[in-house]
Amino acid sequence: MTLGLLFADEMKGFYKSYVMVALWVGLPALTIALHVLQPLIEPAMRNWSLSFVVSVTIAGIGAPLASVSLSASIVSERNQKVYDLFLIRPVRRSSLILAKFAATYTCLVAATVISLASGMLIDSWLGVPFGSQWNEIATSVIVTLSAMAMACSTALLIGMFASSVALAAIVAFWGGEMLMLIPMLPNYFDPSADPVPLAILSGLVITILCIVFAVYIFNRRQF
Amino acid sequence: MSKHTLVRFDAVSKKYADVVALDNVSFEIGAGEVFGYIGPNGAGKTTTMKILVGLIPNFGGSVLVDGRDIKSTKNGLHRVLGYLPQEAGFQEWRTVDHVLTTLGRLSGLSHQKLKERIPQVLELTRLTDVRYKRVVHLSGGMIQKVRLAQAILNEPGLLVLDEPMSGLDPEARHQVRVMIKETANNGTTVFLSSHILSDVQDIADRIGILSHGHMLKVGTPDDLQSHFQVGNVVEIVLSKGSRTLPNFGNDDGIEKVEEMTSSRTLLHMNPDADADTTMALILRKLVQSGCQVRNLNLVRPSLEEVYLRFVGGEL
Repeated sequence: MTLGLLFADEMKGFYKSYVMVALWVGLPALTIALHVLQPLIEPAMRNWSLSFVVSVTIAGIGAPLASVSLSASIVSERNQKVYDLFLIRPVRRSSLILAKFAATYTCLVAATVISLASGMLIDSWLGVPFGSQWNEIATSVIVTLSAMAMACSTALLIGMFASSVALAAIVAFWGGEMLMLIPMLPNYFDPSADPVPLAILSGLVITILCIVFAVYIFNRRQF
Repeated sequence: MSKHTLVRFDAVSKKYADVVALDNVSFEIGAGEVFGYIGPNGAGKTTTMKILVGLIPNFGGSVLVDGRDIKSTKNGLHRVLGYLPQEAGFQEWRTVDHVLTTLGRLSGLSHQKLKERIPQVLELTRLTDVRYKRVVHLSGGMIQKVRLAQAILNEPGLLVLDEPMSGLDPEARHQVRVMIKETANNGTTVFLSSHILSDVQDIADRIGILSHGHMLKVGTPDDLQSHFQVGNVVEIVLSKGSRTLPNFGNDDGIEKVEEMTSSRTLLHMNPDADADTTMALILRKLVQSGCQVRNLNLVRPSLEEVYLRFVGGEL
């Protein structure tokens, strides 16, 4: 029950602090802007549908963004002793951590869905065919969701160790970018390789390991 | 103690790396009692309180609340616990109402109960006007009241207050003192620490003095004063044109004579001198010498004097 309460509280925090607006409006707006501007630099992109641009852009932004925002908020709240008032109540320490992970990941998944849906709507309205790129879009979205899960869980871990918000943000940004590369590794050796299986596997294994380790450390931490 | 023991610290020790924060600390707090906890900075007061509320899970010795070990019954105990930490922040987006609603729900209060309880607590802490304001936009004193409001929200049986008067102006400090007294009168056990010793002296039934992780003494304010045998002081004010004061010395139970003005003198009694006997002796000597006395007053040392001398190593 407390996990549900804490999850709802985190979501309320995202809503009240305008993080949701930044993600759910800012991310689609950014991809549309890129769709318009990027072909000026890279002519090959002129033939890409907006839906495909969305899936590629979010893959590059989503994971580092998730990692930075989550780890920075944990360190900031830890330093301000926000958790003391939660932990003296009948709340499992693990629930605090899991609620943070779930809320951040939910927000990012929603941002991905909104961005993609906006792209498809605009493509349909403009009469741009995106069906031929459907496989690439689906692959990119799966890789993105996997990278976001890994980034969020790694951010939990970084949040346990980092002493300052700046340090957490730097390490998390770098970590988020690195994690994006894991599902892409097969393509490095074989350009025709399918990144989806490794994305799903690495997403599950790394996410679970990081969450378990973060919960273990948080349970032993003295406030 | 006439009431049953609610909190028992038994040989509790805690080390941070090589620093000993608490060393074999033992004491008890009776149900319904207000227990004051004083000591200089770094004495270990906050560590003691954090152990009691479960924020520090690893420590030596045992802590029992109502006979139950806090290491094994954390969640059960936390339903009856209220805690005001020395420092505790709030997320930037939270209003006072959000803070109380979220923390109240986590304490197990229903929506219906919170609808009744939040206005009561806001009224008690005089925060009604800022209910929907963001906590981070409030003054330090108001934020301290928000911390206090969340501590009493679930009507706890045991209220742990770490420096509750910190950052408050004199009026707010008075309000908090009255609130603590009212809470205690309703049967809540209060464990409070403070550097403002006069506040502890006014509120506490018993006081524990902690220094460098050691519990130096536990007792009522009167016990502490008599235990440490800080000498009383007799203030004598003579009328205009009175004869001069006779000589007082060790034979009269007087350690030191301090002439403040030509008419006002302080006689410092020997610490082991009986106050009643010495007063009678002084009075007799004044009458015999023909002094015209306007005022004769026994001044007992404040707890602050006792405390300062004690932790300063003079006693």
